[in-house]
Amino acid sequence: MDKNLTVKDIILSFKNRANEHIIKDVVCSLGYDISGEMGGKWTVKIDKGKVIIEDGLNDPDVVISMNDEDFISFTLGKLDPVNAISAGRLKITGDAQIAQQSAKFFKKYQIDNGEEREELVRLRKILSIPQRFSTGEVMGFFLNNLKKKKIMANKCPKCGRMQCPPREVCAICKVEASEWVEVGPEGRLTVADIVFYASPDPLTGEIRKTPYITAYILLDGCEDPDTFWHEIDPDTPHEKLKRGVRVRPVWNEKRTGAITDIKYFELVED
Amino acid sequence: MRDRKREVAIVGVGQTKYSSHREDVNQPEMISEAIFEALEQTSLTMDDIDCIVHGNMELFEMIYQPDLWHTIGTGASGKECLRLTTGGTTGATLVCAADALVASGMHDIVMAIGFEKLQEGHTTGGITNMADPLWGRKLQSGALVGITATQMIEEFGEERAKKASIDYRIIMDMHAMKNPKAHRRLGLNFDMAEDLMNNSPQLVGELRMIHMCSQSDGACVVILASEDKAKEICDRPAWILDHVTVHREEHMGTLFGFKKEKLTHRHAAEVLFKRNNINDPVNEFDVFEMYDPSSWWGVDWLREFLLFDGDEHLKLVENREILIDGKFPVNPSGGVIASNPIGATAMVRFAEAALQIMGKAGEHQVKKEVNKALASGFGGTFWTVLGILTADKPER
Repeated sequence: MDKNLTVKDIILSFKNRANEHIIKDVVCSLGYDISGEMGGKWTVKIDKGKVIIEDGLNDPDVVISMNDEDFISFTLGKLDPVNAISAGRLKITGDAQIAQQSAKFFKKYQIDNGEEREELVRLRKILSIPQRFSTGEVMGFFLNNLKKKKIMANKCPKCGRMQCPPREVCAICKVEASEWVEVGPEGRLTVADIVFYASPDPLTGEIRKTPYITAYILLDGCEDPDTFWHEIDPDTPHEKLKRGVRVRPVWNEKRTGAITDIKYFELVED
Repeated sequence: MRDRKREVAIVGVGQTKYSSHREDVNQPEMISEAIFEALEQTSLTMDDIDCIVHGNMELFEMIYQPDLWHTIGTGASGKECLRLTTGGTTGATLVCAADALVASGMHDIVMAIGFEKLQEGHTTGGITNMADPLWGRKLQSGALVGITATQMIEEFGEERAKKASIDYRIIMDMHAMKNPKAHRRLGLNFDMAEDLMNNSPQLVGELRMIHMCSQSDGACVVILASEDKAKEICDRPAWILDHVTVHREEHMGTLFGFKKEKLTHRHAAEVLFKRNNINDPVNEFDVFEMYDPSSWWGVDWLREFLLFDGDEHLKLVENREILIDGKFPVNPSGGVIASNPIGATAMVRFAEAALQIMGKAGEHQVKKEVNKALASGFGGTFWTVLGILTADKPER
């Protein structure tokens, strides 16, 4: 590592590294709380294309905390931010989205050693694939019933298991599961997952709003352990998501014969 | 699987360094690094290789004939070449297929290549698309599942479960620090447990960022040879004693009822151990390279693979028996949590188990002599590949 490079040099270089076309409409402030010998506290204010650097933390939107050596490694691309966060070496307090976007506000820091390196090219592509899936007769029957606010399971004539969503044959006994039984709509929660990680919804391509709650529900009339996989009202207090708690579906007004016909399940309060 | 025409051994292993940043090479260039290492280790040339088995998870980079694009990097031109994709288990399936090609007498020396360049695609998006498009796709959040954490906390109490999971994570990082090829080497120690388990960002429930595996770029190559060639190529080859592949129905709902269903891991272990007279896995295996996508699954799956019922799996972790110099070393390589180039990941388990038998694991070599090793692969809606490697040539 370049021994002469200091944290302060890097902070001051933000001014010259600004990507003006990206920050021309941006107003925000980033705080840097860097520990260690070279450390210090700075606020980098971005105001519609201008970059102002101030000493101290002056009420920034987000504070990025790390030690001096890590900060230099991070700037030089030698420390992966995700790894640093998981190891607790990089802490982000406040509006994490601003911290994430700030990577685009500034050009990469380059050590000036007189040599010019040819930059390797990376091509960015986004694929969008329109798809059409046939439901088949059995799944089609099930989805059509959702339009009528009915949840249908099909029963295995051999082992009695209730498949929901249904399948043509019992996956265990391999015999045709021809008997339809209306189940639910209420049931009991077996286990819930509270999802904080924002991933894209493959049905819409949009980043999902977090946290949301996915859950496995044993619908009334179904047989354990054939549970029904859906979501719980995201506003439900997490501590109420107890094993065995009763839930009921909240139906969407507009139903199209899809999983989204049920908005989510909500807790049945006593 | 014991009904084979001839015995087969792993005679050579090559791996790239695993990393989140391989923008300096394209896919065939990256793969060739692992191939050169394996050839160098075995003193073979591409002319000695009869057949190539090539695989990854095509959904991640969205390239559907990677084997053709990669020919320039794999040296497959003019050779028989197969492409395989079985999700997370791909790497292990490649080893099983190569084994079958040699055991059957069809080829003498087969090279299996597993790779992934996850930075070129979207891993969580790719995995989410594995779910049934009519139902599960809306609900799947990639491979991120917090339920095992919830279940372990329910069964063993919050403090004990969280501590075991983070201790497992720290042990894996201590191992990764000994493996220069590992992707994530964070320098964790047991003093950091409290801070990490409470402050690492939450992904799903109590599954936090620190618990979860990485997304890596990298390739792994394994060379398998028939019994008459193996000894010529390698002084101490790793013989393939047996392996088993277990799938379950694709619907995840049955896994998470009130009643706990048997996992494929346990079923695979029961079948494999019975077939090979393994009665006491902890004492009979010298090392276990386990496909552990998160530290919660790592701890929980020890219970399944080792056929425990109570809390013996927690005790193995709590008593630090799974450390590289412990009674039952688990993942001296650092495991999947440290490095996860998905199409190669399950192969790395077999490759690392083989290196331990060969005595070529370097700084992360288990101190005691490794005569019998267990390796597992995991993928999809809970599938398992489980295999046993031995230093002694199996008797037919």
